[in-house]
Formats: sequence, structure tokens, C-alpha cells
Amino acid sequence: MVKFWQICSLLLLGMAGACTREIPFAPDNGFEPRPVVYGFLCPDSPVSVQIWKTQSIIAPEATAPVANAVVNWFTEGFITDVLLGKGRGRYASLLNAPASGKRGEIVVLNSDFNFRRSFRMPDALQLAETDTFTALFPPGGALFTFRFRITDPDSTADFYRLYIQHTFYAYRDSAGLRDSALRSEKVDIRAYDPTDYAVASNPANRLNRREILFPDTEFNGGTYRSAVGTFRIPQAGKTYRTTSMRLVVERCDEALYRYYNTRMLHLAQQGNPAGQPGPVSSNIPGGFGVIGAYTQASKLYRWP
Amino acid sequence: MRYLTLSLLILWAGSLWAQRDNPLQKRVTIRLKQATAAEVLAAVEQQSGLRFHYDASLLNGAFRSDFNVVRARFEDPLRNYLLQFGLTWLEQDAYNLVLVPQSGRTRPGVQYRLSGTVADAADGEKLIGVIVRVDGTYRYAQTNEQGYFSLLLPGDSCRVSIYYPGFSTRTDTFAGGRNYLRHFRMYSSDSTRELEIQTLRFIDFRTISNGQSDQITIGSRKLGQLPFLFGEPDLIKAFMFYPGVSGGSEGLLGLHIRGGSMDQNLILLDGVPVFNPYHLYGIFGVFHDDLIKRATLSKGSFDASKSGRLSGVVSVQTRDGDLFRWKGSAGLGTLASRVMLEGPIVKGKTSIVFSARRSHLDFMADVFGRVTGATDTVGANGYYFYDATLRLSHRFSERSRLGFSFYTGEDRLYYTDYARYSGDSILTRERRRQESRWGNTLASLQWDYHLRNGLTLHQTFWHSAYNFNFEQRYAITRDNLIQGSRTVQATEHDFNSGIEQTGFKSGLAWSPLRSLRISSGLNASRLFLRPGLRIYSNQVNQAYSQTRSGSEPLLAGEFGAHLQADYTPDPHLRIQAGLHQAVFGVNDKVYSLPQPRLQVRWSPGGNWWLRVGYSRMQQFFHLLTNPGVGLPGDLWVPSTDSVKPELAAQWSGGITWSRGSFQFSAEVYHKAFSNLIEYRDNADYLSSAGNWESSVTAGSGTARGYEFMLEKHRGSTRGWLAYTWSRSTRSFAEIENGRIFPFRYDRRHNVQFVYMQQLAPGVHASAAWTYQSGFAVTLPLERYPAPLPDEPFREIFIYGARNDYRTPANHRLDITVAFEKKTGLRTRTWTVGVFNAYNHINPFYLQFGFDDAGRRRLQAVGFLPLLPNVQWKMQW
Repeated sequence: MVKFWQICSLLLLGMAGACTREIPFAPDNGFEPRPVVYGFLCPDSPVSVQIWKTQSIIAPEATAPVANAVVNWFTEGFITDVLLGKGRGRYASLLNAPASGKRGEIVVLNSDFNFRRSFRMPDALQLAETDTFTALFPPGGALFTFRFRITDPDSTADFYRLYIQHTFYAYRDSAGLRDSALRSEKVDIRAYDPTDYAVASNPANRLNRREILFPDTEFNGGTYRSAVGTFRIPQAGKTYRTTSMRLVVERCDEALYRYYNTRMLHLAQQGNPAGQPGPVSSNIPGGFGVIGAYTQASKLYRWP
Repeated sequence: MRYLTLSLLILWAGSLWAQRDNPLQKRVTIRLKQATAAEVLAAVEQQSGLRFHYDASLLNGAFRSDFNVVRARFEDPLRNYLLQFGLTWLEQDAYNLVLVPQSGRTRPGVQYRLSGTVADAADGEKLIGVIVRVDGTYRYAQTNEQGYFSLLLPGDSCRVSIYYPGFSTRTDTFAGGRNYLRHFRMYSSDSTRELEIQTLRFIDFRTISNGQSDQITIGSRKLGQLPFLFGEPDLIKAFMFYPGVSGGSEGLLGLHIRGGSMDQNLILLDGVPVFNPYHLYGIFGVFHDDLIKRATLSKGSFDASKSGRLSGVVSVQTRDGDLFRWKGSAGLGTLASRVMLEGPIVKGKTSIVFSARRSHLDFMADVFGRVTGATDTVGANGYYFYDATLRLSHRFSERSRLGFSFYTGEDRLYYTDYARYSGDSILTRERRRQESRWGNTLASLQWDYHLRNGLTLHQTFWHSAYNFNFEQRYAITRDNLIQGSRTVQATEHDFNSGIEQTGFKSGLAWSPLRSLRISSGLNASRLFLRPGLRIYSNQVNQAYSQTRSGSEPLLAGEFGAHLQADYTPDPHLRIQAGLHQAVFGVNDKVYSLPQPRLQVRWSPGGNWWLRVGYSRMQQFFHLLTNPGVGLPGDLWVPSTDSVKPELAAQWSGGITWSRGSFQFSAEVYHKAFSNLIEYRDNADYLSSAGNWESSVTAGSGTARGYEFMLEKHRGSTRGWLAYTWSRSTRSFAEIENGRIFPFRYDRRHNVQFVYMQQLAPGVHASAAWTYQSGFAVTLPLERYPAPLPDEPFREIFIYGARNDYRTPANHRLDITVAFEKKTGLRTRTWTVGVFNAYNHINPFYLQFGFDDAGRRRLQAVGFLPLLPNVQWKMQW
């Protein structure tokens, strides 16, 4: 009798899996593409701006780059460079990078749209009192942790982003054969103290495992100490071998911070079948994307 | 002269003929010595064909005398005989006489009261909704939820008939002149024909004298005959076969009544509110069909005693248990097993009924995991639910009864993972466990007391709790094989949310006049809400630490009073007017709003009834759901300083008509909502538990519709066809600038066709076909890339207007056949069926996926394909 019900249950479970069917869909024919512009400006790399257009949800192409735009970069009111088209909608300066603390402006000219966006490069960022340790962490697992201190400039409202980059070799099988390619990815990051200001100040951090985003509201002009870590540490017998972990701390302007936050919230809701993903913050007039500035510091830990 | 003689002859012959047919004029021979009055009347009945109706208390049973009539008319001798008892008779018709006291013992125009209870003679179970009617009039009463009735009789004698489906009609005569307290016992009828007649009389009379077109009543018998998912009888799903009622996606995840959301329904189990009446994410309800005595759903006009929700009231009464013998049942189904036991603890006084159920789903998951080859690092994983109901009932007397009800149920979803590895002389063992549990616990103590003058007292102490708990446990043990030392470290993560309510309510009902019934009551309750509390604990060997975050629990109080008058100035006119005043206090904020109720029912004649009604309802706590889906971890939150109580005002009207075995009803309604709460864009319960007030916004809504139903309720073929046209919208100032958009479950057309057929004795089949227009969803229309400085891009979707797209229509056919076999005192039933017989994939949600050529396509995802089921049940 027991075996009879086991078989019945198994059959039933097998039949009750999710089923899909395609249904006809035709979005509004009056769709007009809008500009999508990105400029992540940092003193560590030459200025680069990416320009695309929006596409229909069912468009076959991955992206729709804009090839005929003119992009000018100004610093403190003076023309600094005319960005060259590099193809696939990318426009970049050959050598020049914006300096910390300076004001700039990006002007984009195109037959379909024209706009200008000003920015202020945040002050340079330095990590101090850095060390690492491994400790047990709720709800489970050992946390490889970076401890650090940063000093916030007094003059502006600043925003921060933390993430950990994990570099490793991947084993192809449990026998330990090494994959020849060195890989790098952002890993889950947790604040060591669950009530850490960085996590608590932004409720959206509960939805994001790969970054921690927070404003300087509680320590503007002061010092902030924290410890963040990841569960992803090397263990014997597992499928990868870590070569290094890098903690990256980024100080960004408000436009970039809003973009990071709303992008994260939107992507978290995309996975929800009944979710209502909201718009992603943008400072591009009549379009999407962001032109924002950030400075960065990092701490590298190498495994022997 | 000849014509006169002929006429006289004809008249004389006619009179002789008339006398020949008049039993009172019959000549009889009766010789009785020292007989009682009952024996004399019986002898006259036997020879004359007459039938005497009388109250035995009018006769002196101890008095004996001789009665002799020899080949003579008995009328005068009998009249003289009855004078000894001060009695005479009234002619009901040619063959029925009613014994009444001689004039002077009753006063014309004075009314007397008949009150009492009606119960099943077999087990003592009080019967609800029994019609107790004065023959030849529209004067009647129905037994209430405690099986009690009160009826004003005319001053002189009358005959009273009692109707209830499944039972033989009972008729009694009352002489008048005083009040009566009676406790009637009804006997089941073995005659199919009589069953049909009684059912027709009951339904016809109720329809003709009721006109309550916005109410649905279901008994356990009908519940057992309908087809259900996995063969599990489900009360909530049964209501969805009626107009104006629908479920969520694929009929799961909640009950939506007249454009309302799932948390806007007051669901009562023996008067106690149930906060989450579902198992398995809405696939099963928590009510055991074996225990249900009667269940009623009100959609439009609400009784003044009901408050706290906006859209519907579901009231479920459970059985008290057999007072005379022990019996039970056991069942084994595709997904769950059940057992029920009931019987007398003290025969005729105290009864108990117990029912329990458990699913097999964890069992299935274990089988599935082993078959699919899960690794040995995976431990026990699965899901199951269980529930149990207990009811104790004690009768101090026929007028005083104490009842205790208890329900507990839980769903559990769990996962366990083990790992073991070694290196550098260290043996490491890890154990992870994750578990979600949610469920209800209810308890109530009720006392009913019926006074002689028709006054009824009803007191209830009650408690209801719903709890959701999420746990994560992690432990790691490291053994140093060289040093022989061990370190143990363990962490815990708990998330808990829930709601508890404890209260007392007292009710009083009284009929001061034949045409007037007054009911009133008071209620008070204490509410304890936990919108979400997170606790982290860490233990390293002997050191222990703990941190807490989230919303602090909230304490609130609710008080209410109601008053209602049911006025029937004319048998064709019924007016129900009432007022409920509720006061809700949380922190330093107090909310109070009168909630008027009005309903007028009028019969223009024949078998027609018209109904109009108005209700205003208020809701003080709300369920924040993952938008429109409804998950067990959804949060119950109270009204606060910034979140006002939700309100609904509904106008409704209806028409009812009945002829033969057919009944037709139509309803129209308009409902206006205000202070509705909704998550803002980009917010949901995962990120809001700590600060839910800032994640929601308030708005309004409307719902309107037309409902039609044609039912055949008699015969071997029964069923109904129902159609609903409805429209429901919402509007929030902070969502799309206040644009009016469709409610997620705004389904324009709904059709339900239910067919039940008695194929043969013991073989019953039923089929149900349902059709629903698609529900409203928000779809992305555009997309663009969104990179990060350190990552390649992810796609961002640009959504169209909220709920501006419709899923394809839902429709499916469910079939079930039951085979019942009686062997002595046992009854064995096999039920086989199929859910979604033609395997139509109804969308649970929509997504954009990719076809084999890599092109993005819109897909409907469903979870319930063709599913066969089989159930075995034994009753004894």
C-alpha cells in the first residue's frame, strides 16, 4: 500500500511541474526610441561615454548603438577634449582623465537629441587601518572579512559603494584539474555587523548581495569604520582556488548613487513574477542612463 | 308543481350525497370501556377517515371512561365527550380537525410564542436554517446558528410544519392560549420521493420568503459532490463556482469577492476570524468538509454584527458531534490523508468531534529527490501541512449550551544540507538548515442561553493567531585529529511576523413583536501585530551574542457595538436596518466611524422577490502582499497615524424567481473603496519589513458588476449556470500620477457551469467548467542596457502603464465520479477525477523567455496541467 501511494505521488509530482506556452504579443507600433547614455567618469581612466537607443522588448538585436554623435568634454568651463567614436556607440578620450575635486561637463550632440550634463569629481579616496580576518558569521559559514576606515570630506554630500572582487582558478572536476583561465567576479558581500550603518541606512541593501550602497549622512566630514566580507573563501576539496580578494570602496556623486540604487531595485523585482519594477534613476534629459563621477580605493589580499 | 317536486328531490339527493362524503356524518360503531381520550379519538379516526390534530397536554391522560356509538353518527356524542375536557374542534378541512379549548380560554388578537430548538434525532446535532412555519400563512422562523428559533403564533390554535432537506416533514398542532417551548427532533427520510418534495418545499419557501440573492449557502453534502483539485473538498474553492467570487492566478492564492482583494474577506470559523485560511500557497483551504455543518458567504448586504473587512463575509459553523453514538471516517487521497471521530462523552449531554489531516508532499519530495539522484549531502527536504480541529459541546439543558472549539494547522517548508571534508588533520563537518513555517491557531468558548420569552443570549471568548516564521541554522564542527581538540560554532537567523487577536463578544436577540426582531451586541478585542522582527544569534564555543532588527510589535485595541432591527410589516416586505460602530486604537491614534447597513426585500407577488441594500464597512488592519500574488510571508499591518483604515461603501440590488425545480437570481452592485494601501514602485515586503509605512501609498478604487445564476436544485440531474460581468479599478496619487488602472484581478467575464448527475444508486458524477477573462498585468514594452563601471550591462525593462495588459483567458474542465458502497454500518467511497481535463495551460504569470531560435517571446507560465486524482474514504 505504501509503495502504491509512493508511485502515485511521484507521478503526480512529475505532472505538476511548471508548463509554458507562447502567446502572441505585439507592442505599440508607435514606439519611438529614446537615447541611452552612460558616462562613468573616474580619475583612474580616460573619459568614455557610451550612447545607445532604447529598443522594443522583442527586438532581436542586443543593443542599438548611436554612431553619429559628437561628444565634448569641458573642465571648469574650458573644452578639454572631443571624444572620438570607437564604434558600437562608444566615444572616448585617448589620454585624458578627469581630476579629483574638479567640475566638468559632458555635451552630447546628435540629430535626434542634444544635452549637456555637468558633474563634480569627488575628492580622492583613501582606505586606512585595513586588515583582514576570517570569522564565523550568521546565518551560516565563515566570513572572510576586510576591516577598514575612511575619512569623509566635509564639503559635499557623498555616497559610497562597496564590493569585493574575487579572482580564482576554476577546477574542471573534483580531481583538481586546473582551468587555464584566471577568472574574476564580484562575490556576495556582507557587513560583519548586521546592524552596520552601511547596511541599515539603505533598505535596498537587503535585496543586493553583490554591493553595499550607503550615503555619508551619519559621518559627513568624519570617520567611518566598518568590516565587510564574503563567504567565498578557498576551501580544500572545492571547485576553485582563490588567488586574491580585493575590497573596492567607491565614493560617487548623487546621480551615480541613485542610478546604482534604483538599478539594483529594478533588477531585484525583475525576478518577481508579480513584481512592479520601477524606473531606474537617470540624469539624461528625455532618455535613460547616467553621467556620473566617482573615485575609488581598494585593498588587495593575495592567497599564498 | 312537477318542477318544484323534481327540484326538491334533487336537493334532497344532493344533501344525501354531500352527507355521504362528509366524514362527520358517517355512521360508526364504537364500543370502548374505560378508554383514555386518545384511544377514543383513535377509534373515531379509524372508522371515519378523519384525522385529529391536538396538543396532548390538552387531554387528561389519566382520565378513563366508556364511549359507545352503535351504528350512529358520532359527531354529537364526540362533542359531548370532549366537553369533559373543555375542548371542541375546528375544521382545517374536510378530513382534518383541530382540537381547541372552548371559547373563553383564548383571546382573539393576542399572540403567543413558540420557541425552542430543532435537532437531528439520530445524533442530536442542532440543525441550522430549518424552516418552522405556521401552515396557511407566511408566518415563519428559521433556526439560527445554535439551532434555536422563536415564532409568534396566532392567538387561537394553529398547525405548525417544520421543513428541512433530508428529513421528513414534521407537523404539530398548538392550541394557543399560552407560550410553548419545544425541542423538536427531525428524522431522516428514506423515501427519495419524499426527500424531493421536502427539498422543494424548503427551497421554494426559503426563496419565496427570502429573496436573499447576494448570499451563498453550502452544506457538507454539496461540498462533497463538487469536483476539486487533487480531489480534496475545499470550501473556499466551492464558493468560486458561484457568481461574483473568483480566485487569484489559476484560481489559487486567495478569494476575491466583487472586486475586492484577498485580505478584505472576513472568514469566521464558529465566529472566530481566520487570518490565513489557506494551505500550500492557496491550493487548499483549512476547513475540513467532514466538520462543516453549514457555510455562508455574504457578498452584498452584511449583518450589523459583522465588521472589520470590506468585501465578503464567510461564516462556517462546525458540527457539534453525535450525541448518541460513536462514529468516524478515514480517508486517503492523492495529496493528503484525514481522519474524523465523533461521539458522546455523556450520552445526550456532551459530545466531541475531532478531525485531523496531513499531506504527503514531504513524502513525495523525498521520493522525487531519491529518483533524481540528489547527492548524499542533501538531507531531509520537503514540504507538508497538517491541521486538526476539536469541538466539545455540552448541554446543561435544552436552553443552555456550552461549546469549545479549537483549531491548529501549519505549513512547513524545509531544507537541510550536510558537508564533511578533511585536510591538514582537521575534520570539518557543516550542517545548514533552512525552514519556513506558517499557520493558524484558533480557540473559542461559547455559551448560548435561550429564555422563555424568545430572548437569546450568546457569549463568546475567542483567540486567533497567525504566525510566519523563517529560520536559518548553521553549525560547523572542527576536530583536530592530532591534538584531539574540538571547536563548535553555531549561528541562527530568525525572521518572524504575525498577528494575534483575543476578544470577547456578547449578543442579544429578541422579538418583541411578531413583525420585529431586534439584535444587538458588544465586542472587544486586543490585537498584537508583529510586522517583522529579525534576530541574529552567534555562538562560538561558550560565547553567545544576539542582535535584533526590524519593526517592533504593535499593540492595538478594537471595540464595537451593533444594533439591528429586522422588520416584517407584511409577509411580502422585509426591512433590515442596522448600525455597527467600531473604535480602533493604536499608539495614540483612535479611529471611529459609523457603519450603517440597510436592506429591503419586497415580493410583488408570485415567486418574485426584489432586493436593495447598502453597506458601509471599515477595515483596521491590512495584508501587505507581494503585489497581487499573496504569499504566507506577507505582512499584516495595522492602521496607524499615517495609514488610515480602509473603507468600502456598497450599493447592491437583486431579483429572485423560482418555479418548479428551477431558480433564477440576478444581482447588480457598485462598490467604492477609499484609503486602500499599495506598495510604491520598487518596494516590496522583502525590503519593507523594517519600515513598511514608508513603502506604501494610499488610494481609492471602485468595483461594479452584474451577476446572473440559473440553478436546477432538484432531481437526479442538478447544477447551475452562472455568469458575472464585472469591472474593478484602482487609483493612487503616487503611482502613475493618480491614473486609474485596472485591479490585478479585474476579470471582465466569468462563467461557471456545474453539472451533477446521480448515475445510479451509490454512483454520483459531477463536472464543472469555468471560464474567466484574463487578469491584468504590467508588461515591459521597451528595454535598454544598464551597465556598471565594473560589470557588463544588464537589461532594464521600461514598463507600460500599470495593469494595462491582459493575460489570456483561463478556462478548464474538472470531472469527478464517486462510487459509494454501504456494507452494514460502514460506507466505503472511492472518488476518481481529473482536474483540467483537456490540459489547458492557464497562466499563473507571464514572462519574456527565449524560443529555440533565441528570439524573445512572451510566455504564459502555468502550474496546473491535467491532474488525475483518486480518493478512498471509509465511514462507520
